Amino acid sequence: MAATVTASTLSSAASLSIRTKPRLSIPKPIKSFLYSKSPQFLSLSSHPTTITRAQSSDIDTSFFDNVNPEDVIVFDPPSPPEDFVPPPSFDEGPIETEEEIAAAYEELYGPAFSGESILGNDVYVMDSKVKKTTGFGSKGKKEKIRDGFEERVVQVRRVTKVVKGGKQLHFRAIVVVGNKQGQVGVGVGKAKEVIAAVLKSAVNARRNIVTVPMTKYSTFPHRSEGDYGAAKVMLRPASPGTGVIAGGAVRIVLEMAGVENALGKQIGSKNALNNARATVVAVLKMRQFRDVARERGIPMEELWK
Amino acid sequence: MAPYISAKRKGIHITNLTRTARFLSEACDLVFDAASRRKQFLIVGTKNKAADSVARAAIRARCHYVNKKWLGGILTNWSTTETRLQKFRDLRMEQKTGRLNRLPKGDAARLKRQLTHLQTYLGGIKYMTGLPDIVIIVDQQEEYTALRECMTLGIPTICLIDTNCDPDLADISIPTNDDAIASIRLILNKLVFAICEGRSSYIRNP
Repeated sequence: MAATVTASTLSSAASLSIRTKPRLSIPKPIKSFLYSKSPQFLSLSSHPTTITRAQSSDIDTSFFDNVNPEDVIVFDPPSPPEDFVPPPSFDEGPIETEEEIAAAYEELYGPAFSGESILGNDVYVMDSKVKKTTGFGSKGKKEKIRDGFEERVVQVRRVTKVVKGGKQLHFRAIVVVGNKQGQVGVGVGKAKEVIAAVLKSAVNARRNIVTVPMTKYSTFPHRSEGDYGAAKVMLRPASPGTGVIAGGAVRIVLEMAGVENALGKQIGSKNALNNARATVVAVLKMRQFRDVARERGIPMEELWK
Repeated sequence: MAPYISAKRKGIHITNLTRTARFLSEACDLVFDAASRRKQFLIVGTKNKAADSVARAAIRARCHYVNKKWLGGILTNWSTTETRLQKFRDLRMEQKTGRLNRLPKGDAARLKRQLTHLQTYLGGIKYMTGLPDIVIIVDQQEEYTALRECMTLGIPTICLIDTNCDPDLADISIPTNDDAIASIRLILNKLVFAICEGRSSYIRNP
């Protein structure tokens, strides 16, 4: 098995789930770890980077081109070196007392939530680190503006659930969250009070953020249409100085994205939430000219003919 | 799964062990590197056959583990799990200081029951301060919820796969026989050894 196939295995495995954040990349060839003691250094990036869309060239299924399921493959592992002693399995080996185990864990992770501290650390160390979820009288309002995203409420509606005892009222808030540099998110949240609903929807919005492709004049690269449910939205770029000419939900989404010049029309339903989601769909369909030219392998001038 | 199956005898699929060996060595490399960078691991295995070995393997490797049923939302609803862990810690403190004996019988019994409940389900993750960096799952079909949670959060996973599982879901899927205790123990042995080596290599040169 060629060593280069391993990279493609992993990239094929990793890229097939498109919706998650980018995973690790393991480019280097593998020596058999089973007997060698020298480590391979792989590149791991565990912090989340910006969300990228999977290109069609990411999915590399060439691992299976040379694979014949009916092959008779001989298992031929390399022989171990002379002084190789197989390590003891986790069952054998010295039996550790509970205290030793607790001490080892505490050395690695700190006392965390175990309730006992053998090395003398403070047992309640996690209290300050855990964010206290809202309780009355605690500092709930401090979490309004964090991490550079501005929130705007599109709509707050009072919705009812009819039960045997009467009507149960909740508030549903739709909030659009964005920095004015091309990142927006639409979120929904329901709660019994307006403020709680707005907070919930802001949290939800921060979870699904998309990037809007923009030109240097703060407008779109090209027209696009998007639909969600019965709401259909048409977006069109405009020359600088036009401003955002769109209605309701569409205008708020575009403003929070930082788009300054655009035209938009809600065709179909006028439902605020569905129109906001439809603009996001429309925006996701857009591509920058540079990327398309690179993918197709032609110079950019060809695209404008 | 066809590429990972080498033969079919008497209605039983035989996995192709060369490919298993290769995936296992990849997984060990990954795990070694992660351990030498001080990442946190989580081993998930709830089959009653494998539960005991998972616990012992994790304790040996000083990793977190989930032995009994994987409660839905342990990772995706981490803030609530943290609340439960705090409650667990408070109950342990009360038990140690002896407050439980001073309460009336009914309350004491209730709290003790809660304590045993939390101990069985959350005992393995009581040292976890945040989301883990790598998750090792023993049986994909059994722990499908766990796998889905890791996928939504973008946590890399290593999964032991049988011939009836989907190899594309996890990041590294090791085709094995997940019904045999011996095979699970073999794979866990190798991975645990890799973790220990990684940790000691960090201590030698951080």
